Amino acid sequence: MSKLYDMRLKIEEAIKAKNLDEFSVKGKIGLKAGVLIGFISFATADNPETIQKLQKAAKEVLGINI
Amino acid sequence: MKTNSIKFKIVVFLFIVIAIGTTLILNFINISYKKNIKLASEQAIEQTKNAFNNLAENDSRMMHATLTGLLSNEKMRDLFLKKDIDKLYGYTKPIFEDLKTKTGITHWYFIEAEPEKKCFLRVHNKEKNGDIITRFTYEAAVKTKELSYGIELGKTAFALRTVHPYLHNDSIIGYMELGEEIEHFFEIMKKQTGDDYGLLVKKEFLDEKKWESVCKTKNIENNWDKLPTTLLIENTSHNDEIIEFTADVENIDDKGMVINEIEKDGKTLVHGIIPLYDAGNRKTGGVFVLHDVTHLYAEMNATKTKVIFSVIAIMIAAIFIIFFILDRLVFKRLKALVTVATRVVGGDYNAKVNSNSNDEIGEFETLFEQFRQVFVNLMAEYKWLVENKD
Repeated sequence: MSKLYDMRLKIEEAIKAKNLDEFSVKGKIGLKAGVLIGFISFATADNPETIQKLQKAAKEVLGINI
Repeated sequence: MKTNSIKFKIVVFLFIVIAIGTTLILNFINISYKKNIKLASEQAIEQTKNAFNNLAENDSRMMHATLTGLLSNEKMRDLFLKKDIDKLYGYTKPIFEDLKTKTGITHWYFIEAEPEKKCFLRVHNKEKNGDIITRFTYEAAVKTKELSYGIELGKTAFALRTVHPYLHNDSIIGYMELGEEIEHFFEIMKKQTGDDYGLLVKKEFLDEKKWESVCKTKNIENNWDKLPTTLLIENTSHNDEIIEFTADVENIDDKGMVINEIEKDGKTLVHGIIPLYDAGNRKTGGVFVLHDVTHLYAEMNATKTKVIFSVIAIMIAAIFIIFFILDRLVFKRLKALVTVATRVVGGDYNAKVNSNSNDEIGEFETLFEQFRQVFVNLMAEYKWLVENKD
């Protein structure tokens, strides 16, 4: 499992836990990080730059460290 | 509200526009007030001139009528012809007292014919006689052999005088003169107009010692040194401090002139002055008028307050209306576009932009929806390719 996919799962868990609107939150994080979260799969290759951007975006939108 | 938002910029813009507008309106009110003050001052001056001239004219007519009656009195004429001063005085004294009470006439002269020109009898002052009369009105009557009248300046006061040749069998046997002091004019004028008046005279025509004596007799403060070139000899306001005139009487325009505007005891007053010519056509002084414009000033302030409050109310209403319209037409629709874009990126490919307007934002909504469909199709194709890679 790639690091990026793991981050996707953590984001989805946080959304569920906080009972937030899934598409809006994923959209905000995706726009900030420059990725389509729905397209991150088990086989998606890790990219350090994308990982860093996604971490930063998740922190800003959800307030969590992933 | 964020300082870089369109809403904030609009508020700032509206404030600036309205502040400029308010300043301009207040300036217009000030200009309008000054115009009204000028107009009111000019009217007060015109009114002063007319009231003064009418009083002088009416009193001259009254004195002329009185003089005509006196000149036709045969017994009086006989006594004058006999040059019997005691009998003439004894006969005229009760008549004079009656005239003084009923008409305000204060001077009555019997003057000898030219070339003597001597005063034969002053009914108002029997002891003083034998002096040569040189007044302009008398000289004019001598010259024209007809009625002459006008305002004459004495040593301390002005008097309206009427002189007529005294005839016997179509020959001039002398002149008769009636006169009255003009101080009472100003109280009458005050009653008519509500304005206050002052009578200023050039000092060069007056006698300082005699004025000092008048002040002592009247038990009033000697104001000889109060003004540089003129003396205030009459003032209906009873407050000499508000009569301020330091200019030269010669510079007063014949139409009269507005001097200034002052505030005193909560009142706003405008000053004006008209020149006063004597019978010799000399500019001897001026009639000062104090016109109360407090009501105009109060109206201007009330209007200013109304304008300021109205502008504030209009400003608040305008901001609410503009924000409501902008919110409906622009901001809400932009926010909906941002929401849809965010949801599509988040994976909700069914989120759509509903555009039912063909305005500028409507065109953008249509374009955005077309772009969204292209994006969604592209993503579907990409997903199919990824899933069927093998």
